[in-house]
Amino acid sequence: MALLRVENLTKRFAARHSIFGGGCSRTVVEEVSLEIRAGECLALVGETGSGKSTLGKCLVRLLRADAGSIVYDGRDLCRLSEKEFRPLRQKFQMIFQNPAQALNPRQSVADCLAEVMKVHRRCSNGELPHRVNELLVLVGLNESFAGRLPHELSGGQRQRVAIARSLAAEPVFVVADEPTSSLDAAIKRQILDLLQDLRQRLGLTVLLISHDLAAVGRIADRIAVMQHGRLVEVAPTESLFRAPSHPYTRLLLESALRNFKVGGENVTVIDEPGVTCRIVREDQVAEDRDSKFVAGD
Amino acid sequence: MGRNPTIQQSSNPAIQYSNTHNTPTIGRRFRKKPLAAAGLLGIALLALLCFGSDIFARHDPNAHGDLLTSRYLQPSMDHPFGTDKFGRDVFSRVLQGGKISLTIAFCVVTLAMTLGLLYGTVSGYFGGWVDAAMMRFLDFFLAFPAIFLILTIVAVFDLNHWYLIPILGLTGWMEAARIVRTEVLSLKERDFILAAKCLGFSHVRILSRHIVPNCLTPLFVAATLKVAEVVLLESALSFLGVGVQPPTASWGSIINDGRGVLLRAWWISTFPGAFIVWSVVSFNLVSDGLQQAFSPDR
Repeated sequence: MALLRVENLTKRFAARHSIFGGGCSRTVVEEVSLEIRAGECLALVGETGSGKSTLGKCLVRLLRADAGSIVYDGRDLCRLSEKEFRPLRQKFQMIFQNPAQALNPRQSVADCLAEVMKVHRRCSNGELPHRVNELLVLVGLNESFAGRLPHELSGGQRQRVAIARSLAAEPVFVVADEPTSSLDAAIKRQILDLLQDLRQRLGLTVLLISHDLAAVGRIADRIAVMQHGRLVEVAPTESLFRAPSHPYTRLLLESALRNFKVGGENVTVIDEPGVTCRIVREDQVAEDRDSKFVAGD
Repeated sequence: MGRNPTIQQSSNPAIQYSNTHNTPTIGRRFRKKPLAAAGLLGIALLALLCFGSDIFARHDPNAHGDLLTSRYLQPSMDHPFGTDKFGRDVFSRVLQGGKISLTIAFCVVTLAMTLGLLYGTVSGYFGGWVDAAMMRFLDFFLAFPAIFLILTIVAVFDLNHWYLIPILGLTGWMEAARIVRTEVLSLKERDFILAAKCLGFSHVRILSRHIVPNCLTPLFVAATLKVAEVVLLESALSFLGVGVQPPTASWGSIINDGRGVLLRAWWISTFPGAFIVWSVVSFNLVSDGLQQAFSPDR
């Protein structure tokens, strides 16, 4: 069942402002049509500048699309006014790329989580501390973190707090915009596992934006590939890895594998893309590399 | 072999972190800077002296002495800073002047910083044409020579020295507004502001809880510098005769009193001058220290 049905979504940015009129615009997301199924983890991959973050921001309405529609629950989100959208606002959350910037540096972890619940009147004031602890435990932290300020946390811990904050709003759809790209390999894995775990336990729908095909392969149900603002391929993870239909997907896959090989000596890198490793051995295109992976295993 | 089995283990290990590290508080970091601490001590001493002038000064600052025996007396035990041409005790006058100077400076800075904070946050946060219009209006204020405006206002309307507060406040908020605006412009691009919007927080909440607390640091620094500036400006105005009016003393007006007799009675101008230097240096040192102490993550 589709949670969101995106049709011909287009987003342009003004590239040059001129007080004499004119100017030009750049189309960053072009005619994207996509169905996001309830409860799935859809990965959105593509190179830097391909428009994946912009698409993600349009989906949670941090940016207004210029054309096209996003249908949720029978209503087109693009047509709703700010006021009409307000009750839906909390259902669409986003997790950001850089955990160093994602938290207010002067707000303690507990205040940060409590603020969300207060604004949305999720629970009474007496229940707040209890709910904050619940959320912290949910993301793999504990109550000793409640009083800390962001600069007292590591990158991975900050990202967990940011995830907890978005969960405090009780969303149905979460866009995770490169949630692991500024974290080191071991933490990266933990955060992806956490997202996967939360998705299953809370029945969330997750759009995981990444440039790292190998990393998302492990948790995504389906993968959408973007290039120059257009969606070039959407397929279930297994079949995309097995038989990529678009040449750009093949290119991405190749480069993901090349990275993989370079890091062949490195334990953490080998540990990362478990799925890729298995699938590559089944993939005839990469047959010649087969022996190297087996050695690494 | 080769692969670390522990990494493969559970999908979401409950990690126990220990809370052992203790980050220094702002106060502790501030005290680590000896110069800043000296500045703070200087301000405290100065405030104590000036606001406790009833205890420390043994003479009425405005009472004329015996014109035959107590004019231009050199500093002595009875008159630590000597006396002026009316036989008034300069020490008492400097302390009383300090009380007025510091009060005016404090009120002006509070007013200017509040205006600057409001103006800067609105301009920076809403951006676009609002920002452009507000900044041009600010440029207009900046281009206006404040000192002449003040001279004109004071000369035309016969005002007492408390009117210096709104006048100096209304002509001194632009720097604060610019500092705050710059800070807000960079803050509003940060992910936590985007997250706040995504979480459905109102503009008022985002501004008051997330933006303003994060741009107070440079504002405090600007404020301490501004105190020093206003003390100097008020002294200059009083020296020119348009600030605090005689017989009420202020540091500037006492210096003005001693101007003509600088060679014969050096003490009249020197001591209030030294107090101005004392306060300005103290506030600058504190400002320096605040700047370093207030950034927790650096």
